[in-house]
Amino acid sequence: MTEQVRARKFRRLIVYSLAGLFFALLSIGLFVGLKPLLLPFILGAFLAYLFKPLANSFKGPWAIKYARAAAFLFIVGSSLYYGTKMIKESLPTGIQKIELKVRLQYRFNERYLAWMGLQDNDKGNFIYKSLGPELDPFKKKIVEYLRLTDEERKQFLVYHQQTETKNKTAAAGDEVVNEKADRYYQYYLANLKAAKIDIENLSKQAKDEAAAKSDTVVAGSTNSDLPKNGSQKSNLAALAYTLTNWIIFPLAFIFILLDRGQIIHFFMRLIPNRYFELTHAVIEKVDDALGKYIRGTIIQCSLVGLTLILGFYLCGIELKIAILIGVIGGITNAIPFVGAFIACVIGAIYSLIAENITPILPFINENNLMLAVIGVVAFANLLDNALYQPLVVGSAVNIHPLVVIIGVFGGSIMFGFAGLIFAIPAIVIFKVVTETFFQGLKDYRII
Amino acid sequence: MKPSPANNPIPEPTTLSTHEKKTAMRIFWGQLRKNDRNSADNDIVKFLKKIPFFENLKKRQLEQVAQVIYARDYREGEYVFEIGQPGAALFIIQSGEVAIEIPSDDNEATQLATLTKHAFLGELALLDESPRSASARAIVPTKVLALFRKDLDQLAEVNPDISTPIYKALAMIIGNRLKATNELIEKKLKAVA
Repeated sequence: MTEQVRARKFRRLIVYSLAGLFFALLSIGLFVGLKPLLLPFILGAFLAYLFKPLANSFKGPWAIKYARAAAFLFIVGSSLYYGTKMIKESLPTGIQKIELKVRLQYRFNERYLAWMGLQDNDKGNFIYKSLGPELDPFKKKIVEYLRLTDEERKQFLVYHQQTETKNKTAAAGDEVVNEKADRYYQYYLANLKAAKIDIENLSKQAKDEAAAKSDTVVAGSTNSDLPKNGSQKSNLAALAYTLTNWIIFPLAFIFILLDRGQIIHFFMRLIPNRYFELTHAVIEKVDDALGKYIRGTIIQCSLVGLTLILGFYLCGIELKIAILIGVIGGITNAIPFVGAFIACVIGAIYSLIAENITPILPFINENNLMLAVIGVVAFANLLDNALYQPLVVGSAVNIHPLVVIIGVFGGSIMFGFAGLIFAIPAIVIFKVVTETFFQGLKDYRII
Repeated sequence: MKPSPANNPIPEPTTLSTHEKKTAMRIFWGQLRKNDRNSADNDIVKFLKKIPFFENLKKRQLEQVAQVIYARDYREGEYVFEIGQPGAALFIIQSGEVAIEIPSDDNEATQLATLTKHAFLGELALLDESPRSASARAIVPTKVLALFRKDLDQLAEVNPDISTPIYKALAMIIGNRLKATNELIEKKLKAVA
């Protein structure tokens, strides 16, 4: 090797190292600085990646590419908007959350007493006699968790006073609301009785507070201590902030959907000749495996979600709630093992508070609804393992159960709920990329 | 008073000949399409038209092929691919020279052929991932175009009217080579006899 060639190699090494360091620092800086833009960008890019094969499959003069991309954006945007809206509307807010806690506590107490045979001052059935000392502390902990805080208790009583006042002047149409509010108040009293708290004391306190607030609370509205102006301002600021960040979503979606390989061509230009063919082969294989995995998982999750919705509906759960639990169960199904458990827990909690159900299957009633819900989740899981997964996803990406468990818990510790959902796809991406890359390095005799 | 020609600001109208008009129009449209004409893709399109694989494709179809083609520059002595590596792409020499070699045990290589501009190599990679049967090394600074099997497969899914002539040309080339090999074997056998 001549001195000139050696010097050139050395210069090349220096330039590549400095450029690499510069881009690494730049990437870290951009990652930290542009963190709020990451989620919209990743979501836009991810959806574009999903829709790309569909978008590319159209041809002909009628299908102008920009119109096509706009149509896809419209479909994706509206689905996301209405989906989020539906979920948001279904989730309890403010006083509904408090009512939910009251209902849950009451029904849980009621069910526990029924299961343990403790109703009407009985001494308990066989289960209670055998497991009572172990189950009682556990039950107390759950009740403790569901118990209203002082602030919540005040809010609930104020709301009850207001409803009572309205009740006196209400039209016939409000009857159902009032009937419900009354029933929840009875539950509340029963909960207090169970917890042996002085009812009269608290009621008096609440009446005084309701009288004091009656001047400021607008008639017909639920109680809200927030000043209207401030709320509007903060809402506007939040909306502006969200819009600024989420503007990147449609842009990422459209440009990645319309991309005809320019992005990959740009990055391939940076690859040295020695790794050129290898890099393309690795990208191609990773794209193939990931595309199949992601699209397969989405179809699989949708099928599981639909099975859950249908099953819950047959059990008599209200369609709106069945859709909500089915959607959550479908999404979390992307997490092996944990997904089915989450759907089961949510379904079981709902079955605790479900009242006046109208099941299509005749043998289901309020008392065995929880068992039916668990049965539906188990059946959906069975169908998933026996039918959906082998047919749709296949065994292209197998991950060891221990890795799944560690990944899911690790993801949730590090990134919360998002980590829980995205841990497995991230592990799959990492596994496919490293496996393909090292196999490629060996095939191309680089290592 | 009649104005003198020197004071008249309106110039005499110029009449252009047909040839001049045509030239002006050519320049006008040429300017409008300047970016397009000067683009690297357009150069590739013109170049591809001269390659047997693509000679039956229309300009619009060649433009689509050009979008999935990669242009690479190789220094003298650099390998385009090496024997035994899995084949992933067809290479077309845009300029320069490439030697096709089979390495021997004593670190020397047996040179089988030298390919120049418009020649192509590694065409079997368009069919499957079978290992390269020889190495290809640039013997002077060389520019090549690479078409990957995966990209051709994707083109075949969306635009079979583009990929069909390419596959047909590939079949013809392989068929002709087989014919030539058979003839060579026949000649050798006759010579031995």
